[in-house]
Amino acid sequence: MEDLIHLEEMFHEYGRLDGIEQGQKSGLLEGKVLGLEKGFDFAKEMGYYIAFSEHWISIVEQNRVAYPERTLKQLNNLLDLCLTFHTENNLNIDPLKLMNNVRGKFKAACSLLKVHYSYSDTQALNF
Amino acid sequence: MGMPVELKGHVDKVWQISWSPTELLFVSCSGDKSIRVWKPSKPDLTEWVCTKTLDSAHSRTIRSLAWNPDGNILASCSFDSTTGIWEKEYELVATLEGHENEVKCVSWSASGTLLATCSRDKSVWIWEAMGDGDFECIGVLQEHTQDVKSVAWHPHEEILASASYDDTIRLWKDDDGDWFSFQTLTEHASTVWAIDFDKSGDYLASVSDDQSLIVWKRSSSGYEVHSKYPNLHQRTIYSVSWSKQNNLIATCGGDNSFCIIEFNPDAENGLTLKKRYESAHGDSDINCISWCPLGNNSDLLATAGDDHLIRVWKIQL
Repeated sequence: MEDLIHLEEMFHEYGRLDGIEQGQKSGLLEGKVLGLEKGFDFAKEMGYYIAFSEHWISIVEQNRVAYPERTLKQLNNLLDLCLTFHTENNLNIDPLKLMNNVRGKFKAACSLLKVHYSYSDTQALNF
Repeated sequence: MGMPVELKGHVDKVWQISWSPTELLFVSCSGDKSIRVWKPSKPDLTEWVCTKTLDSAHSRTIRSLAWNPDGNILASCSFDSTTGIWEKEYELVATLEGHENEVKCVSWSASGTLLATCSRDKSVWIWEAMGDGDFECIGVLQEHTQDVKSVAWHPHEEILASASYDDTIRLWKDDDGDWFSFQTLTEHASTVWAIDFDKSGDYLASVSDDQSLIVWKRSSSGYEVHSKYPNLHQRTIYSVSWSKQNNLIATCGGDNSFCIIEFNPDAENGLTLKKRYESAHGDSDINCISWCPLGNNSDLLATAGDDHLIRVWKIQL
């Protein structure tokens, strides 16, 4: 009798628990897909910087006097940062902050080399 | 003509003025894309004249100007995304490119070897002056999440402060050639428009869209809130100037007034409003306020407004 009175609340609660479980499942999938996409974007941009720095390091090394002294250090810093960029999830690292640091190093290197390059991914929206 | 002296010449909003650290003159910049040099023409300072107009360097609004500590190099930055370097009787010797869009503020370090610029592109750039108009970029700091409004160097050390539309102030220093943010000050509730150190560098003043003035004190762990003056102005506070001769702080903003505040470091809340000048530029916003840095003229204060005018005031308390 008691159960019958609370029937509505009971099913309401069952439904809620089912919903949480379902939400976690689909949310996990959604999160995975988003992480995959963002990770791909990051890696693509990082790859651009790696190619850029390797290329310019070889040029500067052949003709050091033509560039400011700190150019090589700046390029090597950039390359190191890219190569050591974490590839696994780590909640203690803010990837966007680290990425902005890399972007800053890239801009500083461009300025020293007196070249105009910019990484652009036409599908990316940066705010 | 008595004080304040009214200086006419610009044909658009005047954004900033910068006093020479070595002689009695200042420069101003404006939405009319020109820089003007002003000098007193009478010994009692009741008349000032524009001795030079520089209008060929920038293609858009010139937002900020800064003299190096020796007073022989001037830097100008503009919404055209470049920074100009002027030497030898105002000859443009270099143009620094790098920012993606509007450059908002420029500042020289105490040694005169480093130059900082900040921009709407959210970055702060640090340049090293190599001599002969040659500048090398030594760092691009991208940690602010919004438009960076203002940069200011510590008066003795190589510590840089930057203020932003993201409501924070960041403090930067160098570690073996790598510049990093060692502290973020988050007390303001809205855009931080301007910052200025006192002459010792132990205190930093900041003003904000939240209409308050905050004075930060340096401790072993960084800068902490020392004193706060909420609702100092009725609208956004755009500019702050801390006299390098005494403990007077001047602020101005969108409510058409400017204030003179005395700071007492020993008091618990050491900010006392000494005087408020209402409608100092009529019903126009006041964009910049600046104390004369020279010992003999430390009572001189210049303001720049949306009314295209500059006013020079003699402050007597």
